[in-house]
Amino acid sequence: MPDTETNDVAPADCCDRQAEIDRLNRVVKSLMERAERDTGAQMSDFGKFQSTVLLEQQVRERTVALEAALHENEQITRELRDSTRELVDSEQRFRTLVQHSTDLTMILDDQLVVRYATPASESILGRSPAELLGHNVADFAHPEDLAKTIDDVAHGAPMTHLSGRVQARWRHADGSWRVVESIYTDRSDDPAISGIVVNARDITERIELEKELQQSQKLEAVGQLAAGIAHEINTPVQFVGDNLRFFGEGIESAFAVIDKYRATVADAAFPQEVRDELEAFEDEKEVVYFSHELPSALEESMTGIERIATIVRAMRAFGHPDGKDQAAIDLNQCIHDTLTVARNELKYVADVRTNLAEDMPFVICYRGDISQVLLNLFVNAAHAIADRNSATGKRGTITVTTAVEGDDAVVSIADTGCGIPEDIQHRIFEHFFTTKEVGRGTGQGLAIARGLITERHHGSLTFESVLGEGTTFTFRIPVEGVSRTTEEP
Amino acid sequence: MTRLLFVDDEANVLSGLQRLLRPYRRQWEMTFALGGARALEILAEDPVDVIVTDVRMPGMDGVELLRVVRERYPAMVRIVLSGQVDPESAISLTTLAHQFLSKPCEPETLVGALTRATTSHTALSDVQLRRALGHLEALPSPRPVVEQLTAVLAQPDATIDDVVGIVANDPAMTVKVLQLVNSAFFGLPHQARTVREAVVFLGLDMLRNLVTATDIFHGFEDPLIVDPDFLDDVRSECLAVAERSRDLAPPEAESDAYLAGLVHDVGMLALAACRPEKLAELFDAARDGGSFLTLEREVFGTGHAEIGAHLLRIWGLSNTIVEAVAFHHAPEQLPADAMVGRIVSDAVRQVGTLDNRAAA
Repeated sequence: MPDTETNDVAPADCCDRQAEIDRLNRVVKSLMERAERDTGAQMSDFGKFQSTVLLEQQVRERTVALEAALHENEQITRELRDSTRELVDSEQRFRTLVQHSTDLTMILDDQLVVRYATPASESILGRSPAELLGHNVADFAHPEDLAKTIDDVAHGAPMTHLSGRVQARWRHADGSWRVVESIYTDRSDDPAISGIVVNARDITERIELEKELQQSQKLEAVGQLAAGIAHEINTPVQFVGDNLRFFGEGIESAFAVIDKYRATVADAAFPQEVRDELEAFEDEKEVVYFSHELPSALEESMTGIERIATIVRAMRAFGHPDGKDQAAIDLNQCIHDTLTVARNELKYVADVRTNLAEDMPFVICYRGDISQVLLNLFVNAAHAIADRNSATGKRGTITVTTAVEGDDAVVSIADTGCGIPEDIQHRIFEHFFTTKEVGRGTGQGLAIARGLITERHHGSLTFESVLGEGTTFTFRIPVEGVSRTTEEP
Repeated sequence: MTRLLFVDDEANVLSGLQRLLRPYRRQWEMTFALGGARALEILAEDPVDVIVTDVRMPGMDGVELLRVVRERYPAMVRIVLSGQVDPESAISLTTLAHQFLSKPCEPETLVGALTRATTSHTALSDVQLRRALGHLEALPSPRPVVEQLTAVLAQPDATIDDVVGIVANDPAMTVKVLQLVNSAFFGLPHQARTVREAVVFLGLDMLRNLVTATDIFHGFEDPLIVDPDFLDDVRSECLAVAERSRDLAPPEAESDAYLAGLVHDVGMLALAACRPEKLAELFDAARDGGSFLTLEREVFGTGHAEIGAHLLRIWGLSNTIVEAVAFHHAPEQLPADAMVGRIVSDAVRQVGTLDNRAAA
């Protein structure tokens, strides 16, 4: 609204007062005229006197009324001036609020073209209000989300009935996606606005935090569940294992006895038909077959039991809730545990090779964070390999290497996957950046992983990639944890 | 024959163990009890030397059972064999159980733990003394050291090294953190070779919980009976021996040598905690010119070295440490390959031992 208009505020009241004064003046004037007319019309003296008195009285009364009205009018004018000043002040206040708000306010026309925008557009979209004018919302809203926006707020009705709240991704001028929550209000009937008012707020960080929280809660739930079922699984694993060993001993004894009998029969002077009968009986009962197969059957069962025990142990360790303090972990074991947990994601697409430093000391860190980072990198590697080999069905290789370099523990995860195209390499750590189809990736994994490594552990997460050949992610964290106040006693 | 009792609420586990341990039936007399209540019935008729129990059991659980066992049969070695333990039970068990094994347990680990427990039983024949030691929740540390540790842990910004600085200079605390880490008390067993590794592995959160919830770091209570400076003397002698042992050791054995040196006199601390009057008499007699090592044998029927080794053995410390402690005054009895043991006994001789000082 232009500033000049403010002086014209409340003209209607002024006019009313003016009209009343005019009316009163007209009354006085007509009375005077009547008096003159009466005088000239041969009025009796008394009549003249009477009408003069009446007239004077009427004039006096009217004058008092007029003065009162004028007084009142002045007062009203003063009040009007005051309230006009207040209005100017509050307009100013309102303007300042809008201009300095971190929330973006826009007015759109019925084609979703921006007609007005507040300076918050600078932080949310990286564009000044002037740059934004004339642009369509579709120029910066994510296409999927725009469709959803129109569905949600237009309810299928014409665009002029837009109203409601919606969450959408908007493209910042720097290329990143911001998550924005907007409230659409249709004010096309309001002549002062005649458009759709959009109040938009950048909630990217809140969403990131929520996602991180969800992720760690998920891991914690896995840990709790694992702890709960660990007891249930470990008990039978204990006695099945004990019994399998016992079978082994029993079978060994039984076959030792059979061998002894055979030797005895061979030495003794048994009639041939007895020997033949024994041999036929052994054949019928498949003794030779059993003597070969039973030991391997037992051995394989033992391996199976051990694998069950390993999985339970890995799940427990993987989901072990972090305290608020860092703790020492066996990094190599942590890698084995995470591989066990991720096995189902990896085993169909890749062989995993580990090349783990034997001299790796305990690393002081937040165990849950490191497990999460490892899991993310393993799953990404598997996806990259699947993308490259989906047509051929060939298997790839994931190579995990650990090393100690100076004060740092270094972990590299190399895949023989599709690689990362150069033009998007600078964006892969951005939140919500993903090349995966919906449901396969949230675009959060690497962003969170980098946060956990750099912010929580003061480490680094980097990568090297060759398109079509593969990618190697490497993270390094200080062996001694984040506060380096260490002085060996 | 050494007698063992196994307790579980799952009959299959018991029969599995029975079959697994059958080869040892000539050296161990094994009994199997289905549940805590049944175990107590069996014990009432005929107490055993070692009890191995599950924790999660309906009715009387393992924590409850071991509490009763410690009260009624303190000489018994108490071992836990469990698939999963909630954190509260684990904290109670740190002072109730000597050792903690997790299911599924490798036969070698189980047999190893049982062998150590039964060896200790035969090595320390004085039942009264074993009972007194069985009651012991923790070895005593000088009270100021315990207060210092509590104060440091109470600070939210305490660092691992602040804590290590205190624990690694106190034999009793060192033994306790090693016992906790080397046993599977918190589900993640690890062989820690240094105090730092042990503290780092337990984490400060866990240490805070333990200090608030239990009495595992125990201040010395009774200054009237034993000279209050006694604990300080033992502690500084242990430190001196630890440092000397480290100096004498080749690089690859430095950690073990330091640890063994630091804990070599825990038997002395145990006596101060459970036989203070007799220990005081012993010192008086040694001051009058007797040999401490001869006198302690007359008074206790055994030596502080054996007592220390007994405790470390049932707490699951490594054999290297246990034998170094057991023979620190008798290196001639060490096995030929016991390098750390030899180093510690040399260090003890060089530093000057408590019996020397008592006689002086």
